[in-house]
Amino acid sequence: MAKGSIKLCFQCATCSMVSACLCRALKFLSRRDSHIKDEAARWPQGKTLRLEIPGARGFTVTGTKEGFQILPRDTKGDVTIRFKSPADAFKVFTGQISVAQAYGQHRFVLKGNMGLAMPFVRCVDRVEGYLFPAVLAKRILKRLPKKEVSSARVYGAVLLGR
Amino acid sequence: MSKYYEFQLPEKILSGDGALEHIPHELTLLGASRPLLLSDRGLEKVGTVDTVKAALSQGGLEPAETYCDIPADSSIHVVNAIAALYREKNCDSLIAVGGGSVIDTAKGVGMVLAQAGSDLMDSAGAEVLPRGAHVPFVAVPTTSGTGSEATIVAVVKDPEAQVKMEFLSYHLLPDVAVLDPRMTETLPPRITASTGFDALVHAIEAATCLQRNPVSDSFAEKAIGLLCGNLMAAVDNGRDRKARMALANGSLLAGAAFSNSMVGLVHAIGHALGGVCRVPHGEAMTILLPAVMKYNLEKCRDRYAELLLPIAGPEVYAQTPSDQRAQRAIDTLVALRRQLAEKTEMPISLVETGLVRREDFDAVARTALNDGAIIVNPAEADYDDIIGLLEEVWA
Repeated sequence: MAKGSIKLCFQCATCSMVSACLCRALKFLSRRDSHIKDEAARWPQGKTLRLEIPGARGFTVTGTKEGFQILPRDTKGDVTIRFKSPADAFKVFTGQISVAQAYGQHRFVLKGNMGLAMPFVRCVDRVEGYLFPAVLAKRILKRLPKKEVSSARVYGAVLLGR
Repeated sequence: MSKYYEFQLPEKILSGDGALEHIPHELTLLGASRPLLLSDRGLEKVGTVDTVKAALSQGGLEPAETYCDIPADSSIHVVNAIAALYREKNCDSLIAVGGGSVIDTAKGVGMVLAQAGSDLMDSAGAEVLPRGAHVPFVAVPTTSGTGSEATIVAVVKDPEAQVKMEFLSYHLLPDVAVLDPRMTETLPPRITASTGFDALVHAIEAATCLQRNPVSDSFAEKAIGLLCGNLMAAVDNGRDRKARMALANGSLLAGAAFSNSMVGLVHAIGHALGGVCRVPHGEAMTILLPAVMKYNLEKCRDRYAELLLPIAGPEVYAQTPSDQRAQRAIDTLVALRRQLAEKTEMPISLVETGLVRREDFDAVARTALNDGAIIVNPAEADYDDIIGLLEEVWA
């Protein structure tokens, strides 16, 4: 296999894995972290956001008073964030750049009402604050979120799929 | 500096005396002969639309249709109605004569037509649309503020949601931007001041936000110099063509800069004040700029220090110790704003607009949080931070 193909496979696999972890963490924290809980509760009823990564597993999410729900994989999004390449998503999912930096660097396109994507971006920033080591999070986030549960519990929920 | 950036240069620029008379030639080059001329009632009343029509007729061109009912805060419904009119009258191009609302409306119309659609909301998003059909588009700004003639952005109100919707696409850029001194010389001093400050905010936010890059920095710094150096002269004497053209060019350069490096928190809150309380955009920018600069100061200290050079000029820059330059830049802008307010009675606090109530703060803050501009602001701003800023600029 060519070196480029191995790198691409690695990036796609990593993105799929981190994307799954992100979903689980988002779901867990939307019941435990007051800020994420509030964003989910304020989410416009029935609206969906889809995140797409070329060659990797994306997801569709919606917010409710009970927290964020991950919807079946083929659910369409009222708003879709689509990374331009797996390498672009890889940079975000491995903490090399923040979502804000990715937006600033044109690494994804957004279809639909940008206003609906903003609560999701804020939640991803908070989730990254829990999942990434402080050194990494400090480098990419404008402000470190004040944790309301321990990162260990979030890792546990991600690993156990709760 | 951003590790990766993209930059779209503006298309053709016609700047100076007689620029209007060259529009027919440009449309011919673009293969168009039946333009739909878009403007507003105010410009029709003061004769600006007639000036453009007279210039077009010198080149043997008559608009196929003229539409002057674009309101100050244009909406998606206005855009959709004009797109239908364009088809009904068999037009083949757009000429937008006006401020940001008129030009952004024209961009929306062009987007609907290019995508062969009927509803602008189908095109919402950032960088997502394919080019579609080419609709030749000439923009003639009549204020020196929005820079919309050089941007890939259109802001159009969704009246039902009380939100200003942002549309971003490289295909929104006009084919030709026309800067003619006749278009701005009758602009009243107060509007000259607030729109000029709007352009200044574009340049300052472009020069400091996360997406800034060497090309946008060049545009932004030149824009700041032109705007700070000529705003007072244009307010003092609206017929000062040199000052007017400096402002027009400054506004265009600021537009090109922020079109690529985006704007930040001043615009996020300003859009919300416009959407929720109908505060005119330029006035919202004027009110918010110094407070937000102070808010961003720790993240932007070095950059603000550099910007003192175009803001205050080489003498002041050289005389100011390096550790005081950032604060001096903010103080200079505050002084400029105070002078402009004294001459024009332009509001510099929310109370003075007479449009905002304290009860509106919650809705304004929540709307600002969901504005796309907030994402590239250098400093994080949450609900409480925005409420704090609104309190600061209240009176």
